[in-house]
Amino acid sequence: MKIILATPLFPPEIEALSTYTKDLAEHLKNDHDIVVAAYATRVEKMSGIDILKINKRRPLVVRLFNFTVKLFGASKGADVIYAQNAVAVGLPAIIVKSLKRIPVVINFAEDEAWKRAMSQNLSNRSLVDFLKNECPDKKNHQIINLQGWVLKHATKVMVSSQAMADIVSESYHVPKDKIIVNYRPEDKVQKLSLPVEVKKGQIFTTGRLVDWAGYDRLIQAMTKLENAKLIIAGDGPARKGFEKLSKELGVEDRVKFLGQISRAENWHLRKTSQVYFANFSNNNFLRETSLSLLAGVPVIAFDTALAREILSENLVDKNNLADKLKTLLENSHTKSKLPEKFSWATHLNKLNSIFEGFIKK
Amino acid sequence: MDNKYKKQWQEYKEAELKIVRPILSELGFELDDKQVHIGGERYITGGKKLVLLGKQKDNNKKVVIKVSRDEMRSAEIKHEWKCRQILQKINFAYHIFFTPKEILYTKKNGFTIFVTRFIDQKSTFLDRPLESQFFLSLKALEAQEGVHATTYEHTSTIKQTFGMWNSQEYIASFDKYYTNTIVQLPENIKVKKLLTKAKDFLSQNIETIDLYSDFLTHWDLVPHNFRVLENDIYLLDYSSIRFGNKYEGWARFINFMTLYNRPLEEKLVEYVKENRNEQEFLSLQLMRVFRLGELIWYYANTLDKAEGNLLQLNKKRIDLWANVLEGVLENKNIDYKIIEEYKIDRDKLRDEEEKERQQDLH
Repeated sequence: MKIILATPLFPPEIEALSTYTKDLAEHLKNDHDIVVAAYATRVEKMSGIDILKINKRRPLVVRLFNFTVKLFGASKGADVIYAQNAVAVGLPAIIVKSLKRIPVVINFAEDEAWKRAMSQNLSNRSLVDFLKNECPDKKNHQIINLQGWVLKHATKVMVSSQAMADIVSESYHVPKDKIIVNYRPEDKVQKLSLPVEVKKGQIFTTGRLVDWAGYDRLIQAMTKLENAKLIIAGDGPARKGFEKLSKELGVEDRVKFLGQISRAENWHLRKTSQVYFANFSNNNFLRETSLSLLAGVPVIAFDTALAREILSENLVDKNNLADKLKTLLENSHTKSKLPEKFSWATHLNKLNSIFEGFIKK
Repeated sequence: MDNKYKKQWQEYKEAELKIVRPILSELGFELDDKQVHIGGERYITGGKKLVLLGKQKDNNKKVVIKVSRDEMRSAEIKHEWKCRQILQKINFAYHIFFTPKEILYTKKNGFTIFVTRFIDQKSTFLDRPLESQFFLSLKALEAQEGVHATTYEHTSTIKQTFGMWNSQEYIASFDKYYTNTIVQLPENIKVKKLLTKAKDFLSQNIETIDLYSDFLTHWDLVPHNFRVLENDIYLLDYSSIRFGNKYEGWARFINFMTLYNRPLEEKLVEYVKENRNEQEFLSLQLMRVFRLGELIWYYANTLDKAEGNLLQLNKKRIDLWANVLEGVLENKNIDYKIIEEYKIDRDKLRDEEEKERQQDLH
């Protein structure tokens, strides 16, 4: 098959989407003819793969037009376009689809509008609440509309959890039979030459510090866990409030706020903690959870549909959080394992079956 | 006072302090009696700018004051002030770097004056445990990589303020270092050979230099240019930021650690080797070579101004960094013994004022 991977990012960009696309191309290249179309001025070369570069240093409309033209040219003989978002590459992909009838799969790994709103502090709502409410920012409103249009016109929409599938279906009105759940593979182990010694009583969590993420309950639980130490990495608008809460509850000596940390430290803290608390602050929930499972640290989370999808144990509510944490901390030999659905093999099988479905038709 | 450059600097700083002290007082600041940042070897670098310590009179809080009435140095202060503003606007690295609070930026009686809050750290970076140093370094270095000037909107905002370097600028600068150093050190065959090899190495790898360019990089990222409070990094020097090869900041930091903390140097090099691809590792090597060439050039240019012990010390510095360059070109670690012997010589040759200036600097 000839597969075009259309992506807004490609290494040397360091974001997860960028490395995912490169890794995917590497995995697919032996069985398929792969062409990458990327917004980039320079890219890391890959043997056996054509990489088309679309200069980012042009005004938005020009670069969108240029991407569409290049994608149109590259699509000759292509069996499928696999687009890595629903805006910058999704729109050109849908235009090419309408002209050449080539199936388009959109990888809806993240909601662009919500991501933008969070990073620019335009909103602190959860994704569901964000999409339910009228967005005051004009540009975000346009992105939401555009995403909705692209998703509706895609042949298939791939998402990384059933919870995200429900959001896409409800908020963007995409028919359920068009949405496919395929978990994002996780293999990003950090190789560090540091001693790994699990610290007794250490609980680790990371994410955006917002009011609805569940950190307040975790901090409250610390009052019942006398010998435990909680490490919170990440930042956000609610950080000061959480720090204040720690002081009010008298646990400030055992609750440490690290702010942003490096990938290496993030990994090392997982390896040296007894428990990882998964919060629900953003759609990195899955990534942070799968990374923790890969590191082997037991993960605890509030019992939600999303958490049930990933975790088979350690699901709690606010009443038994402290008790469950206590049990996990007392059992120092507990280890977790990354489920098979987060492997490259499973991910590729599912992708291949989607792509092959187009050939049969 | 046996050195004319030292004498000139002494006269300059005394004269400037006499004029600027009352101006600062009028603006609400009182200078400390002891000013470590304008002593020691500071005269070698020249540059008519004073970095002073003092306090804000109305609240007694410590401040750092950068002041100059020299056209070029005033422009440098203004540039730094402007860089701070722009970096905050472009959501710099999601605020991983903290910025000491700006107290005042003004021009008065011909002086450009920039005052920021002094960040009092409990312990210096190098006094922290190795693991903490390792993670803080990676945090600072990753924060820079997070800003990539790739889109039209970004490029237009930052190009004029920070400057953008790719292989062309790196190669042209290295050519300058090469030519000047050869002129300064005509008899040093080893340095000439090494710089020739380094120049060829850079020229042969233009593509790799360019591939990892356009990233925000602090080309003077060393512990005396930042301070750490708890786990937060406060960047003190904003004038050394540009968009260039992302490993330039790594290279400067790692080269510095070759002298000040070998285990950290080795851990960081190993980290890149183990966790990034081969081309990235090559990019780090290229940038280390570039920065070492610059360091040798820098010390070669001080030889005319230095006398006595300092002249001797700077010759030893050239030998040291040439040895390090040799190792980096061959991807080999420099012998610990060479570093330790250099340190012994350095401590013998440094004057007391410089030793005092170095205290708590890193």
